[in-house]
Amino acid sequence: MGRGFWPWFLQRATAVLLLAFLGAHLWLEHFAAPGRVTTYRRVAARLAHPAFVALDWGLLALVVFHGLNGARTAVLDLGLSPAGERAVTWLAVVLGVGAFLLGVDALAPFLGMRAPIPW
Amino acid sequence: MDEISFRIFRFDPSRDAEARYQLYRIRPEPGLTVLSALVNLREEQDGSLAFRASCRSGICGSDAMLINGRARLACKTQVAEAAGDGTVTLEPLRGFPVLKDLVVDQSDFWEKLVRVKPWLIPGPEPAPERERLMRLPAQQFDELSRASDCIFCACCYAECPMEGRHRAYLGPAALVKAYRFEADPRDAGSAERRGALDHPDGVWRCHHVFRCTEACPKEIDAAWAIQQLQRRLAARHLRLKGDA
Ligand code: HEM
Ligand code: FES
Repeated sequence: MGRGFWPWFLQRATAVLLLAFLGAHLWLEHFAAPGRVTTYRRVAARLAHPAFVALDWGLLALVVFHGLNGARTAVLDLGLSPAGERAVTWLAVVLGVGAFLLGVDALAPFLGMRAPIPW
Repeated sequence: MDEISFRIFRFDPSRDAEARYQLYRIRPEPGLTVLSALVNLREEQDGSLAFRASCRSGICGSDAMLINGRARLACKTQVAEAAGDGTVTLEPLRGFPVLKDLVVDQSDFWEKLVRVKPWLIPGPEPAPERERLMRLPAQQFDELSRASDCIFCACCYAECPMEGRHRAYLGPAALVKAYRFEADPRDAGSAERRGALDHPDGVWRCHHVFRCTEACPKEIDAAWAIQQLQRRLAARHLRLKGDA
């Protein structure tokens, strides 16, 4: 059992975490250092900091999971055959893993730089 | 009151290729209910009009229909209130096969209800010597009464968007009944009900749209009852209490 429970529960669990991660994201990007001009160097330096990257990767993982799991739920609500349900689930998994890896790859190059945080 | 129109869905599958709407004019007396208007129409204007009703007082649940698009009991709806713009539109309950005019086939509804085993399943206590008293404290009784007032009119099924999309969903009335027994301390049937409730088409299909709560003519908070079931099952899955 749990075929109905886990997608339902994780949708809600990720929603709560999204609130926290989005709050932190908005705070750090827009309000933590008011008046600062966002330059490439500053952004790159931030992205070299593991905490920032963890936040961004975490937010990415949450949004991708929550969005795709929600879309999957909405499609399954239409009433599909078991084979159709499996196809939708696997499509979501492939899209999700793909989107996450793309994001990880985009942020990873800065990680090793070890520059001081510029705020 | 001035003359008003009743625009009524007509369909006889044995004769008609497709449904149509028929207009009737009536001059309502003060206090006339939609059900009384239908009875008058059938007696005075059109003997072929089919609808279902019995108690005329909101107890039997047989005269649920769409009144101006919303699922309501005809016997509990005043014509004066429904005829805002001079027309009352009557249609059969959404989502059910039409048998004739305003009469729908509720077999699917009853079948879902039976699936949650809506009766008290006692625990394996030793057989009592004389009779088994299963008393309930008054406060707990009141709590359960909130869910046991259901008259099976199926208004909640006609209003629930999940039922509209996916007929396999157990639906509000069956889940309310399940809650009524799951929450009863004398009941020990959780394991037997779990297969139906803890299923994608059971409690997890509910998206908290609250249309069932809004539609219920007995003012049962169906969405609340479904949430209680979700909460209980979630606690079991997460092993927050009891055996899982
Ligand atoms: C603070 C942010 C968010 C919160 C608190 C939140 C909360 C929720 C909740 C509680 C549900 C379940 C609704 C239900 O099943 O009835 C849900 C569903 C859903 N969410 Fe979010 N969400 C958030 C952000 C997002 C974002 C950013 C996306 C898109 C990427 C998204 C897409 C979806 C989708 C597609 C559904 C499924 C729709 C449905 O089940 O009816 N959500 N969300
Ligand atoms: S006729 Fe019985 S509920 Fe309306």
